[in-house]
Amino acid sequence: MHETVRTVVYYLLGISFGAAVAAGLFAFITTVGVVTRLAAGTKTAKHIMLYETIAIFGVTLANGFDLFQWTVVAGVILRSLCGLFCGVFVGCLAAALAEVVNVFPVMTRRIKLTVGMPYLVLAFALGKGFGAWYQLILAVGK
Amino acid sequence: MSQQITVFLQFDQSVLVKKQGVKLSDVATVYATDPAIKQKVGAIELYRFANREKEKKVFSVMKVVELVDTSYPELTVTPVGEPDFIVEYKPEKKQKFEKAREWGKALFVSLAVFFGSAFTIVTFNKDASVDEIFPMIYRLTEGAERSTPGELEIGYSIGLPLGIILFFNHFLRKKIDSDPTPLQVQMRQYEKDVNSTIIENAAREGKKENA
Repeated sequence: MHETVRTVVYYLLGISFGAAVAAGLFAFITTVGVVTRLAAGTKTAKHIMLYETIAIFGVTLANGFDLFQWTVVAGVILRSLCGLFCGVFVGCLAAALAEVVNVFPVMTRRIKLTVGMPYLVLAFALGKGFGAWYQLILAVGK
Repeated sequence: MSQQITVFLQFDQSVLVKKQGVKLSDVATVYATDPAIKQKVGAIELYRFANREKEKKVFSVMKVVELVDTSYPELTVTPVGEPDFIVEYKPEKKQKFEKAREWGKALFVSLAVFFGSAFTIVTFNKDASVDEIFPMIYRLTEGAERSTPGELEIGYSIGLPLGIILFFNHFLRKKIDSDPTPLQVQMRQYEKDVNSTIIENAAREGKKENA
């Protein structure tokens, strides 16, 4: 009896933790506007419900892999795809986050910058790329 | 002097046209008590795009008022809605493999969203040390360590998709209630921001069609 009650409480706790985390995480992603920006950029706004469904699958699967140590046999192609698209998404997330907190408008107004916005964005992208390259590849083992 | 007749014109912030010659009825909802006047005003040409190429043009409603006034001075124009509006011209060209290209792009975004959200939940789990919190709860409630994931982890994994489904308000195409989903709301918000930026840019660069 005691065991059963505890199991039920565990499940209830787990489900509420999960629901709260999911709602929080996706409120964040929605506010930052990554998915909407991707949809706007590719002019595929009408598939937005598909993207939401995909997000549900992505989160659920990855969480399973993380918590239960599931494994999948992945060749070099699947691994590269995974890396590439994680990068695309996190890149959008970083750029969108910078935009939400108005980093660029504030900076450019402070130093009265009126030209070269495209270069600023390019520099931002290259900087992120170089930073990741250094941290994950060049600096490994040092 | 004849009696003044009122024409109402309602404008949306952004309209899409497919023909080079843009008439008032293409960009606004025209209303007048007399249907003949409604016809006449609707048929006024607002603008003609010079090239058969994609183009966006920003107009002030004052320009429309001026146009109607010069053609029909006896009419009083009452504009309703946006003070400035965008006319987007997109010639009807059937692109090859249009559907395939669109689905290709949808696939690209889907992959980014799939791996991206997968990556984000794992970074969250690691960042918030979820893998330490569950053993802690087991220790508190059972007084002993557990070496394998159990009920808490399973519940958490069920709760995650449940939470997202609730948040996004639908599963596959089945909606929980009739509200638009948060991303649809965000999408409209973004479009609105883009439109008002286009209008303000045009005004600042003096490219707006004023009266």
